[in-house]
Amino acid sequence: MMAAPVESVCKPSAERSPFSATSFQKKSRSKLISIPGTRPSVQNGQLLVSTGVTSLDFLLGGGLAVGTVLLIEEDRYDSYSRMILKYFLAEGVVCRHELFVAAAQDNPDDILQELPAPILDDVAIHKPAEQPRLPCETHDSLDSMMIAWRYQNLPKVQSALASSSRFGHYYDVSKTMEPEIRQAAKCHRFYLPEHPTESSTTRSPVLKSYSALLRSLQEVIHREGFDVAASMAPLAAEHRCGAKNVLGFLGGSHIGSLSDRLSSRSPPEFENTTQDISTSLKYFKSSYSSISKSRNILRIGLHSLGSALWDDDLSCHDNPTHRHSLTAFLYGLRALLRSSLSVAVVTVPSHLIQWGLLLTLCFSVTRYDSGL
Amino acid sequence: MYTELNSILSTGPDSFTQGDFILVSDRQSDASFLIHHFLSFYLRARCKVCFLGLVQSFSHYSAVSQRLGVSLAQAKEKGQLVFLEGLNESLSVLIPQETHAGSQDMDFLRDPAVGLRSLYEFVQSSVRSSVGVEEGAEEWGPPVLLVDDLSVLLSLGVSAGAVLDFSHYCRATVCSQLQGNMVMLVRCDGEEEEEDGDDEGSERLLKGLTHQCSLALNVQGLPTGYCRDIHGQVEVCWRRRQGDGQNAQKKLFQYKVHDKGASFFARGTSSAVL
Repeated sequence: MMAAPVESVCKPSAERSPFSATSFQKKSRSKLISIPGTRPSVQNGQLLVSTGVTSLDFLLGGGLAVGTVLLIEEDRYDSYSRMILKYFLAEGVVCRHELFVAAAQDNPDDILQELPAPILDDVAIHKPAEQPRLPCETHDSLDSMMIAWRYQNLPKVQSALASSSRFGHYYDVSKTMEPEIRQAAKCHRFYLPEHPTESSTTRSPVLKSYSALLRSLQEVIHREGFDVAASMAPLAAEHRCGAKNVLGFLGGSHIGSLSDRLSSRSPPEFENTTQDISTSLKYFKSSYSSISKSRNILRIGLHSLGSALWDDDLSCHDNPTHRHSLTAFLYGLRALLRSSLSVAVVTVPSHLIQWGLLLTLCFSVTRYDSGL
Repeated sequence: MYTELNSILSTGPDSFTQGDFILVSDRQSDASFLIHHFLSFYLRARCKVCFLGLVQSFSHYSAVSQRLGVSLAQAKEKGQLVFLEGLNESLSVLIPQETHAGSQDMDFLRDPAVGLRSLYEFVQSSVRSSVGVEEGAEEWGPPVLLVDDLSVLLSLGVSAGAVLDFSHYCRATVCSQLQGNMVMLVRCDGEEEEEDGDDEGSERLLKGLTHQCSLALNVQGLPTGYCRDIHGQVEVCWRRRQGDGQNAQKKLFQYKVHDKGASFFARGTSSAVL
């Protein structure tokens, strides 16, 4: 007698359970991409990365938006501004982002060697000391946990991913990052003395050095596939609109970068007309997903732009001949960043420069004064 | 489009005065929310819009307009909107390539001394094309030119005089000949009081444009500093019209920008205060 009502109660609940499971799903926006070390802004959903300095992130409203430039005015001895730059790069290493370091004075490798050591409580760097010990060891009981003993047998290693995907880390400036962590990160270098500025006939509004740097950046962004952000929005719209707009979309010039990338691989598909819409759409979708799989952030650190070593005479003369070269460069940098998954920190020795309109072109400006 | 601002300016997408040159300026604040307002306003008013977006990418404007209920991609497709994405165009000039010639519109980047003639020609061709309507195409209202923002041109090496020439030419074509409207944004960094005199191109530009315009919206931060409930103040200044006989009129409002709009109120009447 008792079994029947229990069964009748249990059965519908078992049937209902899949429904209840779906109705209580966490509401998440599917178009947000998840890259380790990033998070969407609370205010506007922009993708943010950490500067590596948690308090600076707070000042900037949560972090540095992807696709923007943070300009740091150097202090007189370039000690604090350089540290900010190193924190920014170190955060990239810990989050497995790719780096691009450009400098004219120090070799980028030297800057990379000075990165501060991260304080990672749960990181899984496989050291021999952390190998499981034999239970018969007598000294083992000494450092075994006295109170939270039930946690001591939990695996210590599996949190490696959690640590690299966390937003913002703390660093120990007194130590430098261990080489094996540093070398795990993919880093692109631009050291100006290694780039002989060829005297080209094409007239450029910016200095040769800046032009070479922009070109190198553009190459890295194209080659490593960071230039997807611009095409994401039209792509999403296109998926919603359906096949009608696909032709115009494929032929449209506004997708620029992505269509360049794709057409280099499969030019005929872009010349096709109506009957091939579906195939090209399929191709588009597959390439879209293949891109989205390998998404990562490119962190760009540019050191001491505008100094004399970049061939710039902004800081040397009252009336420099290349007055607008640096601002034009920053404009180009902004153009590159806005259409890619990258973020830049630029330091400028502004105390040497008669300061003009530079500030308006950057996302935000941080002044560091050493107070000396 | 912010309806509160429309009622302040006593205008609307159905009835707006033609031939206006609206100058939007900001000082230690950000007035780009007004650019987004005017962009969605004129698109709703079924005007033919030419937008020179020099500081942001198309997707940025598109995302903001989406929130204000206007689709830029659709407007572009229908031919209502002509969009010049300055950032994209500039790259082919700043990173010279042998094969790619690049467009002529941003010619001033190659040599700022040449001036903005090519940019003006781009504006002229895009607003004039609306006059000769082809068969079957939708018909649009008077042309409107929006520029965001003129100060960038100064940073790229164009002289303030050349920018003033550009705006004057545009005004002659768009406002006078075609009876359209024009909205331009210019930003100033410094304090109003400090007179640097020599190289403050943006101050000179602002003065020159204020002289040309028929309506000035001057956005400033609060003099008392940051406030969560009041983002700044807008000074609305109507300049005297011919024959009107009225003196220039000024009004000051405080504003707060919301997620999908902005509210304007008289000084001291913020909901946080009252």
